[in-house]
Amino acid sequence: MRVCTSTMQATLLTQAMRVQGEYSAALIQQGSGTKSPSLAGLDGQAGLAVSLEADMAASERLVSQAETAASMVETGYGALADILDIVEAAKVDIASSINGTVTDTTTLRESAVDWRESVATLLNTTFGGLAVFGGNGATAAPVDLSDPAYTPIVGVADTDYYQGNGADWTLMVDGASGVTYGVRADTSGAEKTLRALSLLAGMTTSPPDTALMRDAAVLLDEAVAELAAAQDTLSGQADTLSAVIDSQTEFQLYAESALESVAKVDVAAATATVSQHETVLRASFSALSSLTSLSLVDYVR
Amino acid sequence: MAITSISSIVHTARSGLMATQTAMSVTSANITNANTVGYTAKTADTAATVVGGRVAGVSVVGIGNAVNTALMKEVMGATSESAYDATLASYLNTLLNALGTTDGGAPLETVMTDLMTTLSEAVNAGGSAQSTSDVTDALAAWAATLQDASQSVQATRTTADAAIGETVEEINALLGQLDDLNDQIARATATGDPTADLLDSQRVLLEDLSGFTDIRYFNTGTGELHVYSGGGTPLLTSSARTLDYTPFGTLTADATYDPASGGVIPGITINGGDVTSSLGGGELGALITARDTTLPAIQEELDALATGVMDALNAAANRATPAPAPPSLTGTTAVAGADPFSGTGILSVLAVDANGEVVSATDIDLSTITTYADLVTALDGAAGVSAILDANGNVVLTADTAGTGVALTGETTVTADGRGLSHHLGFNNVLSGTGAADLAVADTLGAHGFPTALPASTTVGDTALVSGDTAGLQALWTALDDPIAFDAAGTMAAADRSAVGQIAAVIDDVADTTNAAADTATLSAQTLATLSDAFDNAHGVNVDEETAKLLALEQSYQAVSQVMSTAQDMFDSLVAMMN
Repeated sequence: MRVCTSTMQATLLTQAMRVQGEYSAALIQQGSGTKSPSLAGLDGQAGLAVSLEADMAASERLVSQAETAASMVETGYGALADILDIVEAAKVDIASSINGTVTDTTTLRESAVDWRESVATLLNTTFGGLAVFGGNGATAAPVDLSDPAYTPIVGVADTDYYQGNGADWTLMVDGASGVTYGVRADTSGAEKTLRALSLLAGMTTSPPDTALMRDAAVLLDEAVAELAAAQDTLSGQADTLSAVIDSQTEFQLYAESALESVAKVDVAAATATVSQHETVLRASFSALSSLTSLSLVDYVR
Repeated sequence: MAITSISSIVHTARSGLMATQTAMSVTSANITNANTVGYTAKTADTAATVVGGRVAGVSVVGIGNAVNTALMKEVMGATSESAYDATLASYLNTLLNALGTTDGGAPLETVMTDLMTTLSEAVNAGGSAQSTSDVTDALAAWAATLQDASQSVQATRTTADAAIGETVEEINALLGQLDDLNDQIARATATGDPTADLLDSQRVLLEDLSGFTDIRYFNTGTGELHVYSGGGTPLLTSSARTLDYTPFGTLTADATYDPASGGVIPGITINGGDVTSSLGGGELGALITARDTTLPAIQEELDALATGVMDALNAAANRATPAPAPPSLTGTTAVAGADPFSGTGILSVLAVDANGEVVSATDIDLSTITTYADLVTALDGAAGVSAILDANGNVVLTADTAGTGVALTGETTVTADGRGLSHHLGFNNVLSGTGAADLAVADTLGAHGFPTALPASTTVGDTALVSGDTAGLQALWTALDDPIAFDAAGTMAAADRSAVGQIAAVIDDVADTTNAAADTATLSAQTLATLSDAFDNAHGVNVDEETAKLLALEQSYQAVSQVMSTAQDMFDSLVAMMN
C-alpha cells in the first residue's frame, strides 16, 4: 500500500492525540471518582441517577422529620407518665380525705392547685420549640387555665383551656395522606384530669365537700384509664416511626450503592485504566518518533 | 538506414536534459508541498519525440495526476455527514450541561425535591404563615428554574440561528472562490497550461463547502464546475449564487421557522426565493435541525413538564381552601357571561367566620346551569356571598359580612376541561402560565392566602376550617408524589409519572439523545478519517518516493550528460581528423 508522508504522520498524531484524550478522561475519572462529568456519559442511566438523587434527598428529609417526630412522641410519653404519677398521688390523697383519715381538706385543696399547675406545665411541654400536646404545627403553649371561657363543672366536659390546633401532628411519608402522631392536650384523659383537679382546687373545705371529692375521684379514675390508653397510642406511634426510620435508612444504603454503580467508577479499575492508556500513549509517541526519524535520504548517501 | 548526425545526438540528449529538469522541478514542487493541505503528488508525463518515424528525443507532454473522483465524492459526502453530526452533538451537549451534570445534579430535580420537602415541612408546621410562605418561595423557585431551563433551550437556539448567518457567509465566500477558480481553470485549459494545482485548490474548497452543507457537483464539457445543494438548488453555475440570511435575533419558544403557517423566523433565500428546505446536511443542516427540530422538541418536553405539574398542583389546591378563608376570591380564568356552561356535581358555597365556623352554606347543582351568567347568578344567590363577573371576565366572589370569608367545596366537574369548578375558574390556583417559559406563582395567591385546609363540614355552626388542618397541603404533596398524566411531547410518549419521575425522564431523554448524537458523530468522523486517509494515501506526496525519484532523475541527468560529453569528444575527434 502506498502511503502519503504527511497523512501518515497526521494519522499517527491523531491516533496519539485520541489516546491522549482517553488518557486524560481516565485521569479525570480517577481524580473525580465519577464516570463522566456529563450526564450523557452515564451509559443511558442519567434519569436513574437523577431519580436516585431525588429519592435520597426525600428519604433524608423523611428520616430527619421522623426522628423529630419520634423524639416528640417519646417526650409526650414521658410527660403522660408524669401526669399519671400526679393523678395517682391525687387519688391517694382524695381517698384519705373521703375516708375521714385526713380531716383537714385545706391541704388537699392546696395540693390540687399545685397538681393542676404541674399537669398544665407538663401538657405545655415543648420539644425544639414545638408544643408536644398542641396539635399539628403548634409552637405556643396549648393549655391556658386562666382562659375566661374555662369554667369546669361536674359532669360537663370543658376544653376551653385548649389553645392549640384542631388537627394532629402529621408527617408525609407516602401515599394519599400523612401519618398522624402525638396526643393533643384536649384529649379526654387530659381534660378529665384538669377538670377533676380544677374542681378540687376550687372546693369548699369546711365542711369538706365529700360529694365533689367523690366526683373528682371518679373523673381521675377515668382519666387514668384514658391517659394509659393515650400512652399505648404513643407507644404504637413510636414503633411506626422507628419502622419508618429503619426502612428509610436501609433504603438510603441501597440508593447510595445504586447511585454509586450508576455514576461512580471503581477507583482501582480507574487507576488500572490510566496506566493502560499511559502505556499505549508511550507506544504511540514512540511510533511517531520512529516514523519521523526514518528517511530514505539517510541511506542513499 | 537513415543517417544520423552528431548534432542529432546532441539534440536528442538536450531534450533528455530538458525533460529531466522538468521532472526534477515537479519532484521539487512535490517535496516542497509535502505538507500542503489538499496537494496531490504530480508526475511529469513524458513521451518519445518521433521525427520521420524515428525517436529524436523526449518531451514532457503533461504534468498531472489522475484523481479517483468516486473516492473524492465519498470524501465530500462523509465530510458533510461528519460536520452535521459533530455540530448537532455539540449543541445538544451544551444544552445538557445547562440541564444538569453528574457532579452538580439537575437543578430541576433539586428544586422539585425542595418543593416537596418544603410542603412536607409546611404539613408538619400546621400550615403556619411562615411555612406556607416558604412553600410559595419554593413554588417560585420551581417556576424560575423551569424558566431558566427554557431560556437555556432558547439561548442555544439563538446561538444556532446566529451560526446559520455566519455559515451562510462562509458558503457565499467559498462559492465566490470556486467561481474565480472556474475562470482560472478555463483560461489555463485554453492556453494549454497544466491545471492540476488549480484542481487541487478546487477540491480543497469543495471539501470545505461540503463541511458547511450537502452538495452535488459535476464538471461540464468545458471543464467548468457546477455545484448544487443537496436538495438540488443551483449554487454555482456560470456564476455564483448568493445565499441571503439575516439571523432573527433573540429567539423565544414562539419564534419558529414555518413558512407554511407564518413562523417569524425568515428562510435562507437566493434571489428572494426560500431555499432553506433544500440546504440539508453539513454544519448548516445541523444548525437548521437544531434550531427547528431538536431544540424545540426539548422545549416541548419542558412545557409538558411545566403544565403537567401545574395542572396537578392547581387541581389539588382548588380542592382546598386558605385558612382563614379570604374575604374575596378572584378567578384567573377569563369567561364570557353568554358562553355556554356545562358541569356536574354539587358545589357548596360557604361563608366562614374567623374561627373557621360555617356562617352560611348554599349548595348549587351545576347540572342545572347552562351559561356562565347563570353560574354567576347562582353564586351571587348563595347566602352570605356575592358574585360578579369583573371587567377582565374573571368571576369574583365576595363575603357579604366583614370578618367572614368565602370557601368552596364539593366534588364538581366542568365538562369543558374535566376540572373541578374552582380549578376551572382558577380561584385557588398556585401556579399560572402556559408553558415552561412563562410559568409563575399565581398572582392571586398572595391576596387569597395559601390553600392549606379542606373544609371539614358544610353545616352551619360547625367548624369547617380546623386549626392546624393541612389536608390541602398534604394533597399538594401527594399530587407531586402520585403519578401525573403527562402529555406526549418532543420525543417522549405520554406517560403517568411522578413529578420527579418526569424530570428524570426528560433529563434522561436529553442525555440519551446527546449520547447518541456523540456516538454518531464519532462514527461519522471515523468514516471521514478512513475515506480521507484513503484518498490522501493514494494521491498525497510520499517524500521517500520523491527522494527515490530524485535519485533516479539525477542518475538519468548524469547519463544524458555523459552522452553530451561523448558527442563532444566525437566532434573533437572529427575536427582533429580533418586538421
